[in-house]
Amino acid sequence: MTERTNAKTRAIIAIPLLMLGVWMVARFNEPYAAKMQPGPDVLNLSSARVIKALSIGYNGLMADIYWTRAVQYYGDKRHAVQLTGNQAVEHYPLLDPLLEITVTLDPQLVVAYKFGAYFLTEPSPVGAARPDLAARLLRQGITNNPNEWRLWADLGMIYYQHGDYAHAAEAYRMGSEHPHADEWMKVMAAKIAQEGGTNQISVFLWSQIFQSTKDPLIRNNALQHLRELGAVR
Amino acid sequence: MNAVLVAVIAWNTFREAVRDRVLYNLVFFALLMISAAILVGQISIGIERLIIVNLGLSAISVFGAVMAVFLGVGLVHKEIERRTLYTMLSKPVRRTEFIAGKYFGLAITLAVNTLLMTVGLVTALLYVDGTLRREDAAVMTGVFFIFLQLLLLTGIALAFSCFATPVVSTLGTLGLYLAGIFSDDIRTFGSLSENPAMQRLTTFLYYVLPNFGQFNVISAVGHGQSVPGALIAGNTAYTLLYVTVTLIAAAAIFSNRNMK
Repeated sequence: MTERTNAKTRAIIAIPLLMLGVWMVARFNEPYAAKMQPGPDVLNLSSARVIKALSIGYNGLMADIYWTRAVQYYGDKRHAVQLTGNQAVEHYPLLDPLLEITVTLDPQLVVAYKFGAYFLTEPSPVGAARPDLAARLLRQGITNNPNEWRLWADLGMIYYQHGDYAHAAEAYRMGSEHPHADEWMKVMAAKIAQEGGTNQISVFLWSQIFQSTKDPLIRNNALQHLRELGAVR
Repeated sequence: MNAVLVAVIAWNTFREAVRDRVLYNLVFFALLMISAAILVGQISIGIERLIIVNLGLSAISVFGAVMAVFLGVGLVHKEIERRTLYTMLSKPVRRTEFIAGKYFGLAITLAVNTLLMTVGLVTALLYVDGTLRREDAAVMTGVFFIFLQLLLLTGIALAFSCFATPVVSTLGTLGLYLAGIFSDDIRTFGSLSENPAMQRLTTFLYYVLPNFGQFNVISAVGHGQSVPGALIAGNTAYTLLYVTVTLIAAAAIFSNRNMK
């Protein structure tokens, strides 16, 4: 056998064995290493401006990563509630900072305002039960994306859900002034201002939310509300 | 300057880069795009297309910058170390032609690399969206701006490689790259200062340093925002001028270098 064949044979045998050893040691280390790590509910960097500066121009990608982290954070907590059946109040303390970092890194990431507001406003334990933060986030989104009239509809819905009909009507009216806004925005502004909260309006608004997205989480939630209102079986 | 000689040196530099397997980074890029295209829809909401654009353009930029810096700083130094430069210069080749040929050789390598990665990005977009949209044309402008950045970075790396060791050249090129990204901030710091001398200095630095920040349109094109024609023309002219400056500087340094 030549030296070259020897080396090749040695490599074929030794590398898988050594990799097996690496895997075993890594498995052994896992619980010890986990104890040395901060818990999952920790923001390593909390300043959006610092993160933006550190992203050296790749702030779009960083925003996508932070948005995914916000979705994962919300999803994990919600999943834990469903798994344990524990309906204890869940405040989602990191949700708002994660969303804040996301939209600072990419102010045009409309999806983060839209769905972020939904995560923030839903009552606990499904959401953070913070409609005030949701409204603030949406207003920030409207300022940064004046062409997105649907954000006005989302803002109106948050006020409507919490019985603040004056602000809800105002939000729909403001949105309806956008040249591309759907006609129903004007109708909603007038109806809510006149009648406040009615079953008919609620059904219409939840139907709009159901139709405006393909995301199963939001669609299921809208469907749940429509069932509660008796609009669907 | 003999254009044929420059072309021959450029072609050989490209062939050498291919022989050195630098295009292997395309495999990593392909894996990155495939995993992103498959995974993102499952772990995030509403950013499937956006993340493909952001990740694809960022990867094209990072892989390209790494290639431009690490190959660029070795362009001249490697030839001296291997002593192939002496054979080359013993022929009727002027040092300026050698520098130009080396630069264009790496530029061709980067062009091929960028082009193939762009094909990968478009394929991933097609997979995620099922079709190409009108806004995707803006993504191509993003790719073009990244390529301009790489041309500029190559010029800087080559200039450094004419007088410094690879380590110093790498540090110098990366330092200028970072300073160029933050050149806007440098000017802002100056304007915040009350000191007029400091304001003049930071304004001077802002214009002298290569302004890499102005090439960054990744986030905007990700949202389908089109890039104004004036900026495309401006950035192209800026790159051509700046690259010419770096090549003239590199040729001047290299021509005066004692090779004994």
